[in-house]
Amino acid sequence: MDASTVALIVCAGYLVLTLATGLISGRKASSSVAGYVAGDRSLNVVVLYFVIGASIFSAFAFLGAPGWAYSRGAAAFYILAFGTVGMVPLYFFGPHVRRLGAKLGFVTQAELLSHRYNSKLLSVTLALVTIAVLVPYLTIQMKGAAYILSVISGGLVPEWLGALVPYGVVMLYVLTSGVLGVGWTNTLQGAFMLVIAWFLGLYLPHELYGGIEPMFEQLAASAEADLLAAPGRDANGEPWSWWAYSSAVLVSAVGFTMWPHLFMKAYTAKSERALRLSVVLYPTFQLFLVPILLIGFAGVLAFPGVTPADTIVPYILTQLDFSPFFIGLVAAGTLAASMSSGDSILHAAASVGIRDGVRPWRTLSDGQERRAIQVLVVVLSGAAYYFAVVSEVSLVTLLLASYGGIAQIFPLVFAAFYWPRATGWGALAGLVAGLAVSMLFLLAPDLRPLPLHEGVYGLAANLVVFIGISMLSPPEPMSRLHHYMSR
Amino acid sequence: MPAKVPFGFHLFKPTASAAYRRKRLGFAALVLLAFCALTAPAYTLVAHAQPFVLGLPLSLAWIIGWMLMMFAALIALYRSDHRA
Repeated sequence: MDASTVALIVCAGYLVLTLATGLISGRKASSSVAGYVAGDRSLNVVVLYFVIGASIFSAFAFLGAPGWAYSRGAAAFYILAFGTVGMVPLYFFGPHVRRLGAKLGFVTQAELLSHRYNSKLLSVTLALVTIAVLVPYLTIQMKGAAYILSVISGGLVPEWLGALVPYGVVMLYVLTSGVLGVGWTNTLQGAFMLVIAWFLGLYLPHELYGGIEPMFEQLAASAEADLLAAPGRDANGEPWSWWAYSSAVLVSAVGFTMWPHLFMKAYTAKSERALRLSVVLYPTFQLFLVPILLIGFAGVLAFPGVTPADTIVPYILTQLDFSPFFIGLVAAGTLAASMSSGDSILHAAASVGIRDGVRPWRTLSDGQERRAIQVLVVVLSGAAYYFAVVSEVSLVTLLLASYGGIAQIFPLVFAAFYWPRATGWGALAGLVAGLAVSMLFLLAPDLRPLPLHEGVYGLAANLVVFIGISMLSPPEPMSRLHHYMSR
Repeated sequence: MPAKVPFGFHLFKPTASAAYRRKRLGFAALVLLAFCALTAPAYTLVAHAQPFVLGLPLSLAWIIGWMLMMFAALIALYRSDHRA
């Protein structure tokens, strides 16, 4: 049997196992929308831990992040830095979100915000933003899956098939099992990702340089020594500016818990304790970025000049004398990273689309709503597949815009719980101003007064408008606010 | 619950003890400190490769150190929140 067949069989085995886990796990859930979207609020700390970790770390973990370390060096530490502080807010507002969800029946982020701010327009705006950021995100996950299958098969698996099969599996278990399918498959995928990353990250420096310290010593003595000094290089290989690095950490940290597919997992927790504990334990998951970055650094001196940098992991794998079985395992780990984010994104985008985009305007029964969400799961899978495989349209701008855009939700969530004077008009105007300014400075970077991340300008505009309009408009009634003020 | 909508922040319920408020505000201050330590200007002071710490460049070890520090602080907060 040739090497690529063995590797593909390993991936097929992983896909079958994932599909079986995904299909079986949904059997216990009720057939209600709360069952489909929030798992009947029953997830324990183990599943939550892996759902949070595996949803956050996408195909980027095995392709993009080592690529950053390889080509941009210490710039990649930015990913560790924002995660260190970015998850903390969930410890504080997560239990309130969970409690209100159980009390008032919320299952999405926009539902909570549109109730607090008494604004249907806000609900639709958030639904549009969610779909606009999540569909491109899903698209790159599909591309990542297709790419890794194409590489390990030596081009035997074409892109259309490499995206179709893994995401066919994802669509099937998201359709049948909802968030419980996402939860249990993410537990499997997350554990798998961790094992592969730690093994590869510790093994490669040892194999290529005799250890981690010798690797960094050789790197520090080489012409590439600047890679080890923060903040590393920018995308063009020039030194990255401290302004850009620091503001990127700020915007990413502020937006971290605002990603709709992550935020809405707070509703799935079975208890406040389980939710808090999964936030407390998150750094143990995040620590796997360290071996991931070591993989990228291992490539610098041993395999110079690999482009694009995102291909460094598959490149190293094919250059070293690994058994095809192991190459299959790493490819399956990459698929796991892609699919464990893809499933969560798909499920969230479809739920938000119906729940927040349609339901405020049209009355749906519980059964109709669940079916509508399932139809949208299929439609969004198709749309992402189209952009991943068929269309030549680049979604890169939307993807870049998403980080600055998502951060704009933070002031609304913070004020929902901690600033009673915030009003619906203030929230809507602040959000729109933040999105618009952030987009403007993304598209016209020369207009920026300082080389800061565009999201910082967005946040400044957002805060000024949010506070100003809130002060000028009448407050929401105490009968509504007391839900958010009681602790 | 007040009858009128208050103007300022509403961070705690009125019955929250002074010790509870101190603990949470202290934690928020620590998060802010961590953010400052991980960005310019503080991070520029340790942004170089040498000296190595446990085999890692100082610039990386510094960030991992703060990550572990936040982890320890979260454990301490969780334990005190759920002691009863």
